[in-house]
Amino acid sequence: MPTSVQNQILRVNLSNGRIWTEKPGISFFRSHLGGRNVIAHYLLTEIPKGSDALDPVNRLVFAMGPVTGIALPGAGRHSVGAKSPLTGLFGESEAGGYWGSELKQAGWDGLVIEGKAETPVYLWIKDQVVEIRDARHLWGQVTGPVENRLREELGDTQVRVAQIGPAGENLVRYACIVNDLNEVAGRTGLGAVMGSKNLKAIAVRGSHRVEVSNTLPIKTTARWVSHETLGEGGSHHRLHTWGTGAMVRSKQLEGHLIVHNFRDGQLDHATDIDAITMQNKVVDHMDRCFACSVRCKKRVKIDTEQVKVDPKYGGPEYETLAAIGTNTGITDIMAVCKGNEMLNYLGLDSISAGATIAWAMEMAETGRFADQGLDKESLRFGSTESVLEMIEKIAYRKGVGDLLAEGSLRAAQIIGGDAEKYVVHVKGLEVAMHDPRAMKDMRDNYPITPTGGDHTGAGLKRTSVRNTVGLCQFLQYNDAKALELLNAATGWAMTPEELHETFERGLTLARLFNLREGMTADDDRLPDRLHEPIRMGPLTNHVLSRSEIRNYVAGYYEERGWDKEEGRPYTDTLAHLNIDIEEHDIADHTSERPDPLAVGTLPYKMSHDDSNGHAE
Amino acid sequence: MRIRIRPYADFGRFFSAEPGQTCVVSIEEGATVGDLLEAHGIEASVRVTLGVNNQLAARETQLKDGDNLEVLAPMSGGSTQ
Repeated sequence: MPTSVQNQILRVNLSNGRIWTEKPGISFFRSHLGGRNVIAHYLLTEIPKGSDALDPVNRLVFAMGPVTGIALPGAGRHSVGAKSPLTGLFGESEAGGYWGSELKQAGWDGLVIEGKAETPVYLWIKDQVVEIRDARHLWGQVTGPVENRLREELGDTQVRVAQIGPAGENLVRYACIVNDLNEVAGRTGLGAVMGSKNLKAIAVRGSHRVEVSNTLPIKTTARWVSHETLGEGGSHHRLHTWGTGAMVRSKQLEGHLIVHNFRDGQLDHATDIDAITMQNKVVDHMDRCFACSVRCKKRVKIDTEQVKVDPKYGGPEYETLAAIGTNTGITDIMAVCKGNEMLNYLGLDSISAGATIAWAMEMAETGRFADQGLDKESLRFGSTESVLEMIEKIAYRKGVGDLLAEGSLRAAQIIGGDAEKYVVHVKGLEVAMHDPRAMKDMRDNYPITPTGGDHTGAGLKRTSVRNTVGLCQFLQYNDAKALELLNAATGWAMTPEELHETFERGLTLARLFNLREGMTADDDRLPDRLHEPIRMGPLTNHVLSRSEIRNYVAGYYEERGWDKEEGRPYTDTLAHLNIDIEEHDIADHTSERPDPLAVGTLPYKMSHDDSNGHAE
Repeated sequence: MRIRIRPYADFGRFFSAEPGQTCVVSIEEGATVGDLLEAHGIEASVRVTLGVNNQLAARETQLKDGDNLEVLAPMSGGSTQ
């Protein structure tokens, strides 16, 4: 029977040059699907406890979903994971574009890289033929020229490239992995892991169409998206027309725009950098990911005497508009677009970079950076020069950039005093550009996400299911539709209950990894800044209480079948999810349920939340 | 009285205006923001964020001649885009 799951994981050991194929079996894929669940499996199984994230023993895992690479809008997603050099915990980030689909079309459901090459190398994957090649001539170069050079060298303009920029080479703890020049696996410092392995790039070319079991639901859904959802009033109209970032004005009025290191909720002229202004001033055209008719990707072109921005590096998404824009006090669209281009060619995560610079600006403003030779004039909120200069310094670890390349939490711990109090992070990951003081989604998300301050919902069901199936979060497919597409692609007759169980399994594996690496329940919280009132706007009298977060977290543990105090999975939860305590060496991080469940009761709470989005 | 409206997101279609661009509508004296929205087909059940003269407003906010009204999709408590 045709199926989109190919039962092939490509394994590469860069220390000894060994390349092999692993076939985990269809039952493995059915119980884990793809994305972060597969990543959690490899991290927990193969990385020795307490290893340094930049040690060759770390695994860099690229995981497709079962629907990645099929002809369906939103199916161009893949995930990358490793132990994070930024947080020391579960590291994972998701990207779109074409690279993941290309790898799937080359016949691979995943790629796991271990070891470290003696000198810089790149991987060349052409269908089932895989080579480790010399990349010394590429080391030190920014992403655009590397992609050109690889395509030239490999004699194929359609080769898709995932790569690191200078930031990854220099082990900046929030370096990202850039694919297709404008898509990134941005969070948790995966580019530094790639750099630590001396791996500059992964070039891929696949020549096979990904098979599916039943084409009809997939074709029907693709037609529905392109014919019925893109016009005025349609569910993808806003994204199709402006992409992300159209809601800056809403946040501004409501008073929770991310401004000045999460201190202020409003900023004069903020709409000068929203998506609508961008459309009018700098967007050259909208682009798409693999097979997607929504086309929500902005391509910016600026060609003035003062500023030039190349559209091949895309354009800033909302996160970037806020991170290096409003959060640093900047409302100059040209500067933000230039900053976005720099982040993409240097290979830096825009959220962590912007948040770290904003934190440093507050430190300089309040005199806490005097030892670093910085004051409120030399590193100032609202200074475009400060931001652009600092992006470059961080990527090359020049001057104070070397300190900031460690991430805001480590940098604060290095400078000491009360600097840590001003770091807006969860588990060491800088918080994304949505304020939990105003957004319930984020209150439910940030404290318990296994990666830390990420906004994409790794700890919540709807978003986790999409990540592991391989579907874009922006596509308005409800849970039933996601399941229908999964079954159509794979030929499985998975039930909602079985799908729910894969979500619980992945989350519990990631939890166990984090507990094993030293995380405690005390890390499932928000930083001090987010319990302070916002300084400007309608929310100035609103305080998010610590007890509200604590109660939410305890309830979340309980729903998962983890103990309420420490969030350690109960042994009956592990048994139900077929997670082997001995195999994973996790006995110290489990718990016995004090009140055994009645026979037939599930150890976690089932939910069938179809309220988000809709199908046809 | 005449009210200048700037609709965002998909709200332009209720006022025959391009999103982010402005248009001017007339409504009788004493009308609230809610009255104006309902007159243009935006029912009370539709969640909106409203601004009058650059300040956060509500459906109950009283309008006066020459006011600038913004109609947007809400973000507080909302999605991640």
